Amino acid sequence: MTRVGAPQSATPWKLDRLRWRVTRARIRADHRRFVALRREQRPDAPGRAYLHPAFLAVLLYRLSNHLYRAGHPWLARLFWHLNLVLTGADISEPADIGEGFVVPTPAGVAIMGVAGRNLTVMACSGLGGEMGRRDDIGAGPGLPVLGDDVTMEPHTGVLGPVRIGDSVRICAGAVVTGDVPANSVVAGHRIRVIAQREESTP
Amino acid sequence: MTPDACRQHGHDRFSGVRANIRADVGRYLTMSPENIERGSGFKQRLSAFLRPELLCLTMHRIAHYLHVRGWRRSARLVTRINALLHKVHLTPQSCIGPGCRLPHPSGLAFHGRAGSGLTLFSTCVCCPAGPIVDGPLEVAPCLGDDVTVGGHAVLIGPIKVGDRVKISFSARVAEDVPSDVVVISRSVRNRVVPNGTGSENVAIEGAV
Repeated sequence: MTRVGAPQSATPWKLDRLRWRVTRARIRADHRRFVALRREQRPDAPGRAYLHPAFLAVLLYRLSNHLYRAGHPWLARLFWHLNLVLTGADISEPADIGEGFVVPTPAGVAIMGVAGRNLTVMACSGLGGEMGRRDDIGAGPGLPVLGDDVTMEPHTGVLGPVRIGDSVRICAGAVVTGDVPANSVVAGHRIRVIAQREESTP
Repeated sequence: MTPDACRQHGHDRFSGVRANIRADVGRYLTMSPENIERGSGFKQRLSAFLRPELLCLTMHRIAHYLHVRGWRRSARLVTRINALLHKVHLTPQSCIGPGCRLPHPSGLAFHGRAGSGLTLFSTCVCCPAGPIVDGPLEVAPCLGDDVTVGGHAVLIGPIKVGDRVKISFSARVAEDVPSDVVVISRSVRNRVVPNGTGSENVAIEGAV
C-alpha cells in the first residue's frame, strides 16, 4: 500500500467523444455479462433483462455517459436524474467505466471515477473522491482509477485518487483509501461475538 | 429455520399472508410505549399499514406469495414495483417470517430466509457472495427467529445465524453465528483527530 504522490498527469481531465457504435457495444457487453451471471446462479432465469433494475441502472448510465461525451451535458443530466429516480443509483455521467459493468442492487450506489472491464459494484458501495486530496491520476481531480475485474462487495468504498489493480476483490465493509496491487483481496474490519444474557441489550 | 418453514408461516395461502401482515402491523403497534398508548384501533392499524416500512413489506409478502404459488412473472413484477417505489431489493423468493420490521427501507437488500420477529435497519444487506442477488436460497444467508440486524451491516454468503441474535451497525458477517449472541463490529469506535493540521489525511489513509 503506497501513498499517491504528486499529480502524475498535468493534462486537464478531458473525455473524448464516444461513437454510438462503442456505446452500443458496451451496453451489449453489460447485458451479456449480467444475463450470464444470472444464469450461473439460476438456470431458469430469463434470457433478457432489460427491465431489471440492475441492468436499467447501467443502461441509463451508458446513455447519459454517451450524451455527456457528445457535448450534451443537460440531456446527460436528465438521464442521470432518471436513473436516480427509477433505480436509486447515482452513477455520475462523466464516470468512465469499461464494458461488462454490473450493479446487482442499484439502490444507494454512488459511482464517480474510471474503471476497467467487468466492474461489479454491489449494494450501497461507491467510488469517488472529496477526501481532501485533489491529485489527478487520470480519472479527474481526487478520483480513483480501477483495473479490470474488480469486485466491490456491499458497503465498500474506494475514496480519493488511488489506483486499484486488476482482479481485486474488496470485501464487504472495507474502505480503500490507498493503492491496491493486482490480484489481491482487501479485507474489511473484523467482528467479535459476545454472549448475550437474557434481556441484556447492548 | 428450515426450507419448509415457508409453508409453516403460511406463505402458500393468502390467509397465511394476511396473518403475516397482521403480525407485522401488530409488531409495529407494540414496538414502543407511545405506540402501545395509542392503542390498536382501526385508525391506528390503517395508519401503521400505510407507512412505507409496512407497505414495502406487504408488497414483498404478496410477491413471495405469488412466487410460492408459481406465478413467477407476476411476482417479479410486484418486486420491480416495490424496488421502484421504495428502493428496496427484496427478492420474491426470500422468505421472511411474521412480525418483521424494516424501519428505514430504502437501500435495503435482502435475499435469504428469516424466521419470525426479524428487524432490518437502514441499508443493511443480506445476500449471497456472488454478484447477482437473485440465485437459489441455498447460497444465501439463513436467519433464525428474533434476529436484529443493525444499519449498514452486511450478511454475505451461505451462513446460518441462530435465534435471538443482534448484529451491530456496520458489521460484516461471513461465517455462522450461534444463538443468543451479539455480534459487534470493531469499526464502530472511531478515532478523532484535529482537522486542518495534516494529521487527518494520515488518519484517513491509515484507515484501510
